[in-house]
Amino acid sequence: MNLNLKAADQNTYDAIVIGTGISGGWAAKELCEKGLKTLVLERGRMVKHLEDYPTMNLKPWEIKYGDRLTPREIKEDYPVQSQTEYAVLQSTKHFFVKDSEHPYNQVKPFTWTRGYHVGGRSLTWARWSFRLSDIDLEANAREGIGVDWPLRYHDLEPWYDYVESYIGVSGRKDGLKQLPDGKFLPPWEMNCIEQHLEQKIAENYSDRILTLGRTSNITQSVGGRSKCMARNLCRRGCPYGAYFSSNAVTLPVAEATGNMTLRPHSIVHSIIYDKDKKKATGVRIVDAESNETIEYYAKIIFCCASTLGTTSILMNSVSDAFPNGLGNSSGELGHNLMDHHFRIGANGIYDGFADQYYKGRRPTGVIVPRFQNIDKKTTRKDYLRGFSNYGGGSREGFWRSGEEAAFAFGEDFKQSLVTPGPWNFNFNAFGECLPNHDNKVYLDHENTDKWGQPILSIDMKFRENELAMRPEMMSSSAEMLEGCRF
Amino acid sequence: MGTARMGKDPKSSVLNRWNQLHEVPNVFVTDGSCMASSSWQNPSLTYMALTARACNYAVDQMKKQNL
Repeated sequence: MNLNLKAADQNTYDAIVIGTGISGGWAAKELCEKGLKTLVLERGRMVKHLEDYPTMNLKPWEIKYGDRLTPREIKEDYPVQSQTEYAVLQSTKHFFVKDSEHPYNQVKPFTWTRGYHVGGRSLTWARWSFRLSDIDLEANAREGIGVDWPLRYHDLEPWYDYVESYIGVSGRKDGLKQLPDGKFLPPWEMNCIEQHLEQKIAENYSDRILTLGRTSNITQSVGGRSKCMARNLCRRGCPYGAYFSSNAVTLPVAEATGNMTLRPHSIVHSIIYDKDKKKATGVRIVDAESNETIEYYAKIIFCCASTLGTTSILMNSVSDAFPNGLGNSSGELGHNLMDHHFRIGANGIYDGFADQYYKGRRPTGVIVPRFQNIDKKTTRKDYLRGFSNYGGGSREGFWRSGEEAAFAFGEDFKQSLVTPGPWNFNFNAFGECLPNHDNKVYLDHENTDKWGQPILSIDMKFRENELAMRPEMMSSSAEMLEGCRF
Repeated sequence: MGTARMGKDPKSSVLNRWNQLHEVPNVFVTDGSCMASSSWQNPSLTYMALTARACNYAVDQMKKQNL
């Protein structure tokens, strides 16, 4: 009896945070700084800033297979996540789970990108950092879609100020009501083709602008982290800590308080509910290495395990009081799954500026922020909400010459190798997805993973409104480039 | 995003305006599952802001002996 009490005491904290990604790292920092003894649980392995970034300083010729996954790796280990094309590479694959080790059911095709390790996807995210506006937060209520957000921009504004100032976000103040300005570091610079496009769009349109991306790649030193060196190798982990990740920014601060206990290899099975106290009392975990089941207790619990991670845990936390998942009397848990829709746009080649180039590899791009359904003038009949056109301009390089070189000889061949190709510009539009009750996930208790946990079934598709805006996502991209003589 | 959405009414949403489970107030959810709509913006900065806001609220409520 005494022994049990002692064990319970040892496993008791003020707070438990589940997950170490973007949200979990912030919860750990905030709660530890406020003096709470905090247990931070991560289902995957430890990744320490700098020492666990094995590829961060490798040269291109030191990486196998031109940095690409082999056909065997794609087939056996990454059949799903390899579809993202840009993210899972030889130099980054250790920051993504193997699809084969973490199965889920695609009731309809759904590409689920995951990184199970300390820092989670904060190491591999795209770093674009935008605020929501009241146009976004009021839209559900205005249109009778889903449920109204229970807060507005003025509730979030001081907290956007707080986190932006802390992490460092570079950007340009554009004064757009659909994309509120923030506490920005100086923006990155546009190259000549982007400046040209910016000017032409300003001449050709009154409803839109081209501006710099707002990104967590810092253009000045912030909180002891050096400014970004424009290597654009972010997803390997940054030797300068020059973009926001939990590993570089929030977790070291939490650690320094002395209040954090970080426990990797801790798969949360469920949250423990006490129906008499009407409170959660703790969590039950499975140690990923020993398969041991352990309980930890705390006064408050922060779920930051990612959208589908947290949802799975809540759905698996069943009791007499909550037979359908913790806090799920509404029946909405697991429903209304949303994702952005993209991979549509246009690419153009520009004949000119042959004597100009650029320095470094800027780790962000330019953007035409949403210009649809902002006000009466921009209201569309065929769809609600809207999209933004993300882009970037560059000169084609050696690879072009390499292809041409197959047909070149002598002097022409040498010349083609040392001459950059023409300027090109690529737009990729990124669109909003409406909440829909029928886009859902649920647990498959018949099939379990190697730790005996039920696997997730994902039943989600893009519907009428998303599909209705896609033609314009493409045509607007092409039209802006054509109007600029691409 | 969206599979434990915030809302005003416990009958149609999972979380309240402080990212608390309506029915279990000492459990907070501050990742993408809380989103009531997706918007076009990359959402991560919003997760950071909502998390910091919810942590501030949670500790405040603990001090007032409400949690």
